[in-house]
Amino acid sequence: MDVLHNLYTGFSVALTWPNLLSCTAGVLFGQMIGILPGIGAPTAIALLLPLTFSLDPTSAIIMFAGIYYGVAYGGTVTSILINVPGESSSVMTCVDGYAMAQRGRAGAALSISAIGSFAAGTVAIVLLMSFAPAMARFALRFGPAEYFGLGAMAFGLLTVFGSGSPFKIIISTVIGILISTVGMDLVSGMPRLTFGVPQLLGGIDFIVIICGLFGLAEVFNSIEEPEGGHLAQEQFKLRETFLTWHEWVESRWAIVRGGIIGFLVGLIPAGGITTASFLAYMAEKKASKHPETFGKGDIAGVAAPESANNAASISGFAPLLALGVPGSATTAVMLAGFMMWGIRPGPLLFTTKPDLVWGLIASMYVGNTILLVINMFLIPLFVAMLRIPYSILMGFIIVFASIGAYSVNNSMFEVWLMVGFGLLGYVMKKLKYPIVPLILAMVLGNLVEKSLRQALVLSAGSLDVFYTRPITVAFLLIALLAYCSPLIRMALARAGYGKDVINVESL
Amino acid sequence: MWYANIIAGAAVFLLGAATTAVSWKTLPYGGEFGPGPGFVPFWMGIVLMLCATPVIITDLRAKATAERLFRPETAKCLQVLALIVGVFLVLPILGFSVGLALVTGGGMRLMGRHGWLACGATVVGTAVCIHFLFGRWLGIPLPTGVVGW
Repeated sequence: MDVLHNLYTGFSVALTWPNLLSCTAGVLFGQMIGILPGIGAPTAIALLLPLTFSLDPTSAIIMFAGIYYGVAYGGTVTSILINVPGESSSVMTCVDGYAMAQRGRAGAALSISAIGSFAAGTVAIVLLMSFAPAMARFALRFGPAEYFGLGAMAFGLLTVFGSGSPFKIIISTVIGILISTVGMDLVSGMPRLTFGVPQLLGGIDFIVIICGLFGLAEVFNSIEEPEGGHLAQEQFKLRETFLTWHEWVESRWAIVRGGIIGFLVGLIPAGGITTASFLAYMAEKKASKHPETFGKGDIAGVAAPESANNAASISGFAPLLALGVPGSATTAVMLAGFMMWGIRPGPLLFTTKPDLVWGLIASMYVGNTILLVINMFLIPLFVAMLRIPYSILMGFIIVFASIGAYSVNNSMFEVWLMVGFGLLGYVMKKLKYPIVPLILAMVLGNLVEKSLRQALVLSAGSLDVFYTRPITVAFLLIALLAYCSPLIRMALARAGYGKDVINVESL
Repeated sequence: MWYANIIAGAAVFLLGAATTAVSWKTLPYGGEFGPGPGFVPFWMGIVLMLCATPVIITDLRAKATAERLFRPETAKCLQVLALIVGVFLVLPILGFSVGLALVTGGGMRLMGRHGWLACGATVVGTAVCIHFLFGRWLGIPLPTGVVGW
């Protein structure tokens, strides 16, 4: 009953005109971001953050959430039509979606993506309403030792879900932690790693780094490796979006399985929507009676990952809201937004800001409905956007990134820092050092260090605080297993078990 | 690419060494009631060195491949970087609106070989939008140049 009452409160917040407009703007913008190459949800939100200083925080967060799950819908369009994933979470959709388009069933593929995303997203919102408050009540038991363990676990899980060198993932994570230490130490008041530069005393702002690593670096990467593709189908008729009975039957359980997998993966810190879509695809292929049809235009191969990525984007809000721990780069940027408005996500958020939390949850119902409608009827408009040359887009990305960086402190120093981080991000990608661990570590680094120091202060320097508290022990054990996971995977590979990899770069 | 990987690994190792050394020399390791401000940077530097070592060893053992760090398309990136840096250096004179507008027009000309008319129209439109959207409506105090924008 509490949940229903809270949801009623949420709808009374979400259905006000400013918040409805914010939600609509967010999902439309997110859909466009998902379609356009070279710009993703973290970049878009980071570029918009400085511009929303004057907005009501609830409206701004509703808009950003709309961008996040709207992107999952939008990335599907390019995956199906030109075999180029608009977003990393739509990589698996390319496999069967483009094959369907080549057979003239692009409309059906887009339909099932929209329907699957809507169905799984709606169920995920319902589950979020139960899970998030329960997580928050559980997190009320957390002390500094538990938060340290949670942070260590989140860092460790980055090596579990990653491919490539685990050492490079750890290096990227550590660099993020080091960046978070730059500036004045809050406990002692001593400057750290500022090298006498007064502008660094306040630390390096998250917005500057995101604008550089995701904005400018992506511009350079996209210039060097332009994404292109041939449209499999340019003209659409409305009736082509209707599914046949056979396609409905083939896809219904894929939506259910994909939604469940997506929801569960999204709950894990560092889980990510890309991981969810990959796991859902692999699980659907294993569960299928005809796995040989996957990769050749099986509609279940489109329904499963699309349902999973939308469910994961919704459930990713649970650790963010209830624990204050972001599950992906996008929620990490949103955490920065929360802090910008002076709101601290965590277990107390549900009691101190119920309007914001439940307004956000209710707005997800509205946003998913809007997305279903526009994806069924406005696809030709979005197809037209694919024709915008990147040479025009990149200029605007640079404009937004530069103004975003400048507006942090109204100083050119931050703009030059952004250029530096842009070059760093460009080089890191070329040398296969993942960027997402750096971002997550930068956001969580202060919290983890503060928690560690607080825990040791409370225990008078004794380390037993880390092995006598059961929740902390559980988190630290998972972290240890996670860091050992590359060795476990090597041992399993030598024993002859298959190895599926997920690219942590595309979380 | 082989050389680039080795150099990157070495750079990470040196970064770790420098971080460890700087934090040990300039920051207190312990505090009155627990770790001090130098604790985390010290150990992160150690971790960097420990992780860079196997990366360097793996890269040294790897065979050189045909993949190159810098490709012909990298020249385009350098052109865009030169455009950005050049404009940013003269931003105090040009002002933000005009300067960033020149970046969009310049990018269109460099990357897309769009006509001068299209580039010029984009420059003018972008400058107007930046001035009114960011400078006036959102109230961001963007630096103005000799034009006053």
